[in-house]
Amino acid sequence: MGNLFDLLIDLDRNLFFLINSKAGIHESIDSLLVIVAGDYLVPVMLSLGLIFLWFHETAEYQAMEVRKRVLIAICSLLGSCLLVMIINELFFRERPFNLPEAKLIFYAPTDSSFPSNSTAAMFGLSIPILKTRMRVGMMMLLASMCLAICRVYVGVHFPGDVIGGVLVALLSFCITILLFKVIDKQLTDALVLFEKSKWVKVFRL
Amino acid sequence: MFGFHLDYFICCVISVSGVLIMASSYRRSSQSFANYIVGSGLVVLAALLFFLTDDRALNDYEGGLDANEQAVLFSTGSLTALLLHKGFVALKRRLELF
Repeated sequence: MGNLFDLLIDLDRNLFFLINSKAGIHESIDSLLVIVAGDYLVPVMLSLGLIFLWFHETAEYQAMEVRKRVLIAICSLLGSCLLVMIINELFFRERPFNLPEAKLIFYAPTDSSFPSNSTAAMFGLSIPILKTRMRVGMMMLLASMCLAICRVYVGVHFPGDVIGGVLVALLSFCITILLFKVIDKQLTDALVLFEKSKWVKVFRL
Repeated sequence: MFGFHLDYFICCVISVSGVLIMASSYRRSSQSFANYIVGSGLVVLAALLFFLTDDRALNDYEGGLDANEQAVLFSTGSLTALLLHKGFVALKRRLELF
């Protein structure tokens, strides 16, 4: 069991060096990937995607379904962050840029490397959209994958951290779906009320 | 431009305005193409404004934003954009009446 764990850690390191060794060669590529790996571009783009989905649907029954998914996505994101916080309390893994041969072209975070918080959050936001809006969901998932790979490229995560982040997001999604099944009727009623209420007219286009 | 927090807020307002223009053009499909161009242009403009005016790869204790600040600024930015959009649409309707 210990051997298997060591083997996985070795594999993780080798994969990290395979991706991270490409950093620092082309300055323009580095600066582009630093932006993608950053805390602003992908999270804001995915949030804009959710805003678009919330407002664009015309048919009432479809709008209801899509809006439920948007709410599930937000709760799944919050759940992912909560799970990452709990795991970080129990387990600490050094960042890969502390290894002697690693290259760091990003700022140096101080929290635990495993699991990747940003990957968990972005996958948590993207996965729920896949069921109702396949194309938008796939685009969001693709953006999340780019973020995940860029985080390894810039030297702040091992590939294993990113995979851990995806698993955390999946777990959070499953828990959120179970919770939403329990409150499905109440949620539908609340959304119908939201659609009909004059007080919240400002929140509709 | 004006400091990290204000830059982020302004860019959120611009990009959400773009998305709202696109979403509303989808609902009223007659004038959709031009609105799509304007909307996506605003989103790209916001991104360019944000990333080309300063170094944004900053840790939260070195002047960047932490997750909570981002969430608050993005929500208030979205709400501001929504109110601006509503105000603009109301003004446009009023002007069409005259």
